[in-house]
Amino acid sequence: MTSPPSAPEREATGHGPVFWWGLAIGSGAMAFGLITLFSRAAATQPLDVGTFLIALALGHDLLLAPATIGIAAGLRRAFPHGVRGILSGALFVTAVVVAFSLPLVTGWGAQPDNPSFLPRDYASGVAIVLAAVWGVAAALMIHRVRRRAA
Amino acid sequence: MNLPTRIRRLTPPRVGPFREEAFRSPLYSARVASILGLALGVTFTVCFVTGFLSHLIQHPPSFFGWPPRPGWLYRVSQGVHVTTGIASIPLLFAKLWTVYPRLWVWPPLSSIPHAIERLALVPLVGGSLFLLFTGVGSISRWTPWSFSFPPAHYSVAWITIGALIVHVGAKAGTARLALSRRSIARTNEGRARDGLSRRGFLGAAFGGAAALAVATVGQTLRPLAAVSVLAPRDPRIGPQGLPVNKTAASAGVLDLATSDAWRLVVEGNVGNPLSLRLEEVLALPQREAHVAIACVDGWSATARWRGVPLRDVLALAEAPIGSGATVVSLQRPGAAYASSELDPSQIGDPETLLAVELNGEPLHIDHGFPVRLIGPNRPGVQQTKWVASVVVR
Repeated sequence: MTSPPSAPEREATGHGPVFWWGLAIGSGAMAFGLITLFSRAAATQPLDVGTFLIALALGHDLLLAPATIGIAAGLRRAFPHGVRGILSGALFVTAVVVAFSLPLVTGWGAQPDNPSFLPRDYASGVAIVLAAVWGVAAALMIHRVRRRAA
Repeated sequence: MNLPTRIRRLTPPRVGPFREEAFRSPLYSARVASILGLALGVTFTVCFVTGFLSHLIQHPPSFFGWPPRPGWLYRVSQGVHVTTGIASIPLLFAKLWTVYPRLWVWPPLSSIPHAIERLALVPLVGGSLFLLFTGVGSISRWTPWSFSFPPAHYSVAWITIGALIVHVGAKAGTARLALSRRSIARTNEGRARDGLSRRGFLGAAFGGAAALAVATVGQTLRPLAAVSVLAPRDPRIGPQGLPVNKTAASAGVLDLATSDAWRLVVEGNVGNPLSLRLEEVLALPQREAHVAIACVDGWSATARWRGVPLRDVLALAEAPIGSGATVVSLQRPGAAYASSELDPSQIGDPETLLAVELNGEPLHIDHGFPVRLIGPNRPGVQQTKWVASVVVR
């Protein structure tokens, strides 16, 4: 699928001056972030922040990504030929919308004395957004099937 | 024998996800990764700049002054910050998907620069997920963590942007090549015959970003309020038609704010200290102003306020021209956002008011009764409610 890199490609993927400049500037920004984090340790709880950050990265790399790959492979076989791509794309958007909406739908952060916060019916909101997403997907599938039939 | 060759010879055979053919999808492509990387580079830079601006406004260093005009600037800046962050979510997951095989590259380390490049991915990936997760948690008030959100989010933003700069330095050449015309021709050769195409994958990522943006931006862009069905706020909903961030009950000021003993005190560097009852405040010359409340959470709403210009109150107290001031709330000292600072330019703006009315009615208790500060181009947390005193510097 991939051919060996050409000479310019090898040059482009090397670590030239741009890399070292990026490292110098980026390290400065990271150092400033770490100093800020530790200088306000009572509020920022650096250990908790670090644990949270690493847990999110590992959670993605070792759980979410492999699970997604497995699910995608399974669904690929289950989906009808010709519209697999559209269904996969719509499922991706569905997963992201549901994940984003979870704290809204559950109302985990709701403030009982403040009805102006989370004032909507978010379950219906999710249904509306997903109806729009799957409406677009359906239109694309119909278009695809008709084009193939023509 | 050079270092990479030595490392290759020393490393054990490739197994599991390290196998050359472990990831076969055509979506694992440098071109797709570069397009998504470019988009994320833009969105993260926008979020960083607008977030840094918000930080500077709330914690101004001596060299920084934030003008009261244009009055719309902060609401746009913070609305862009939150909406762009939300739109980044599908882009980030799509990007992580398309570069996932690179996590298992063999040999894992081929040179010192390569090791540095890979090490920088920990703060980049972890920091990006952290910023988006805590950002979404914060605007939905779901905070399953022990740290204080603003300083932690701010610190990790610097760490992440630093790691992003390192990553851009390492990948600029690869991305330039992957985005070139020659790359398009090569990419099309390896096109998927069935399943999600690269164009379809990018369409889903950017379509998802657009869907989330439209579904939430109405909390600050009023014409879209009706279609933003996933926005944590609706600029049309709340007491007197305006959302509330913190209620009087949760601030613990219900009794103090409604007590007959309440006075508006003006003190500090003044020639004529004041202690005014509410009737006396109401008897002062008033003016009306259309000023937006712009919350750090990304929602904003314009309302019609009526009150006494702060500069007139300070003139009555014989404060020196060019003074700064601290507006102090009835909240217990030390409580978050219990006071706010104003510099001379903000005090001098005729629409910076000690407001007593909202949309034609006396202030609702949750909007700061009996008196609140309202001024153009200020974060909502600096529009101090339940004002007890103004201390002139």
